Amino acid sequence: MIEALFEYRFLMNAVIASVLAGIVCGIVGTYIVTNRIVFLSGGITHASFGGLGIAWFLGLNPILGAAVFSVMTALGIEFLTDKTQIRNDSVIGIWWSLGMAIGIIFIYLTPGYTPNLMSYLFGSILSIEQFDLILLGILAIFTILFFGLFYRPIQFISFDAEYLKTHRIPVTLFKYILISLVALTIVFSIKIAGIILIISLLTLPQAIANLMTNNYRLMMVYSVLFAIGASLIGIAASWYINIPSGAAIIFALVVVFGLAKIATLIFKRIQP
Amino acid sequence: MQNPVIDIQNLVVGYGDAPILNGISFQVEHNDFVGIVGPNGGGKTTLLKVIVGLLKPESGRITLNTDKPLGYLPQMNHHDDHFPILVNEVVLSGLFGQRGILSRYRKADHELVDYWLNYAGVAHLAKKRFGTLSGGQRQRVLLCRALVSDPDLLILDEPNTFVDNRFEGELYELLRQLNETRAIMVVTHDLGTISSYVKSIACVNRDLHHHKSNIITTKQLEAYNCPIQLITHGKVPHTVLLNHTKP
Repeated sequence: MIEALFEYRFLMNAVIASVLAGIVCGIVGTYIVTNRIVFLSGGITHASFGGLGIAWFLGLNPILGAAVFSVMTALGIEFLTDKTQIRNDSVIGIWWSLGMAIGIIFIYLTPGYTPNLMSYLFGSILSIEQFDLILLGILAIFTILFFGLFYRPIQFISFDAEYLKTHRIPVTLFKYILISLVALTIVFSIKIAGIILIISLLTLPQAIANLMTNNYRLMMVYSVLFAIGASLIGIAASWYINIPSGAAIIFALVVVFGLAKIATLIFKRIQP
Repeated sequence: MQNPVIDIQNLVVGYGDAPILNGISFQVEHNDFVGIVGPNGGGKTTLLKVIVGLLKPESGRITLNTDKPLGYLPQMNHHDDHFPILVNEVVLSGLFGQRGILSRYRKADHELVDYWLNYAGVAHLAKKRFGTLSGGQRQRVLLCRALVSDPDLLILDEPNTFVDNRFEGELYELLRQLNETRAIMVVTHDLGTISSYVKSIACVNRDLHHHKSNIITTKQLEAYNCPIQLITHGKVPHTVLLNHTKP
C-alpha cells in the first residue's frame, strides 16, 4: 500500500483527508461530547442530506449544498433551544428525518444519472478529490486557531454556560459559532465515513480520550490522534477488502474503546 | 455613610397579570447579610438571576455600587461527572469576567485560586476532576469560584441543598467570616438554621419586604404575605423567635 500511495493520487488524497478530518473531528468532537450534543450533531448530519439532494437537483456542488443546509439547520436548532421552550430533542428528530426525506426526494427527481448513494451514506474515503481537501484544510486551520485562541472560554462554556453568562461573556455568540463549526466539520468529513456513520468520528475518539485524561486540551489532542488513526484504518479496509470506510472506522474505534475501558478498569484495581 | 452595595428600584420581572416580581424596591448595605425567604415560585431565584444578569427585568433599575464582579453561587445543578475539568480550573473560571476572553491566566491568578481553595478547606482537591467530588465538596469549590474575584456582594442560591448537616454548619460559619468584609445575600428554604447568622430577612412573594432584623415571627411573615414554614433544628442556637412566640 505504501508504494501505491505515491502511485495513485486518490490514495494520497485519502491519507491527507484522514489527517485533516482527524484534526477537525477530534477537536470539534470534544466540544460535542463534553456539551452532550451528540444527538443534535446526529440531527445536523442527517439533515445535511437535504442540502445535498437539493444541490444535486440544481446541478451545484453537493458538499457545498449540504454545508449551507446543515449550518442553517444547526443555527435554527440552537436558536429554538435558546429562545423558546420547545423541547429540542423533538425539533432535532423532525429535522433529522425531514432532511433525509428532502434529500431523497430531490435525488429521485433529478433526471438521468443518480449519484452513488452508498458512498454518501456510508463513506467512500477513496473518492476524495482535491476540492474536498481544500475545504477540509481551510476548516482545519480555522478550527485550530479558534480553539487555540478561545480555549478557556470554550472549556468553561461547555462546563457551565449559565455561570459564564453572569460574567458578561458573549456565550450565545460562542455557541452559534461553535455549532456552525460542528455543521461544517460534519459535512466536510462526509466522504470519510458517510452521513450515517460520521458521528462515530465525533464521539468514539473523544470517549476513548476521556477515559485517559481529565485535561480538556489533552482530550482534544488524543481525540485527534485516535480520529486520524481510525481514518487510516478506514483507508486500509477500503483498499484491501473493499468495504465502506465508515464501517471499518467504527469497528476499529469500538475495539480500541473496549480495550481502553478494560485497561482503565484494571488500572483502577491495581491503584485504587 | 456609604451607598448601599446594591440599590433596586421598582423592579418588575415578567409581565401581564401575574408578574413574578411586582415592582420591588430593596437596598443591601455593605455589611448586610440578608436571608431571602419565601414560598416556592415566589420569585427568590428570579430576583437573584436578575441581579446577576441572567434575566432581563421588564422595568425598574438596579444600581450596583461596586467595581468588582458579583460573586454568584447558583442553585446546585447537575454537572457532568466525566467532564474534563480540574477543581482549580473551575475556580479559575470565576476570574473570567475580569481577565477577558483572550488573556491568559497568570501566576497571581493561580495563587488566588489556591488561597481560596485553602480558605474553604479543599486545597487538597485542587488537581482532582470536579466530577469526582461529593456534594459538599462541590459546593465549597463553587463557593471559591464565587469568591475568587473578591466580590463586594456575594449571592448564594440555596447553598445548603444536597449537602449534609455538618457541611451546612461549616458553610454558615464561613459566610459569617466573609460577611466581615462584604455583603451577602442568601436564598434559603430553611430559615431555621441560618437565622442566627443573618442580619436581616427579605421576604419575597411577588412583593418584597425587607425585615431589618434576624428575629421574625409567624405573624410578621403572614403580614408580609410570605407564608413559609418555620422549622428549628435542635442543635442550632435559638436567636430567632418562632411559632411559639406569643404576641
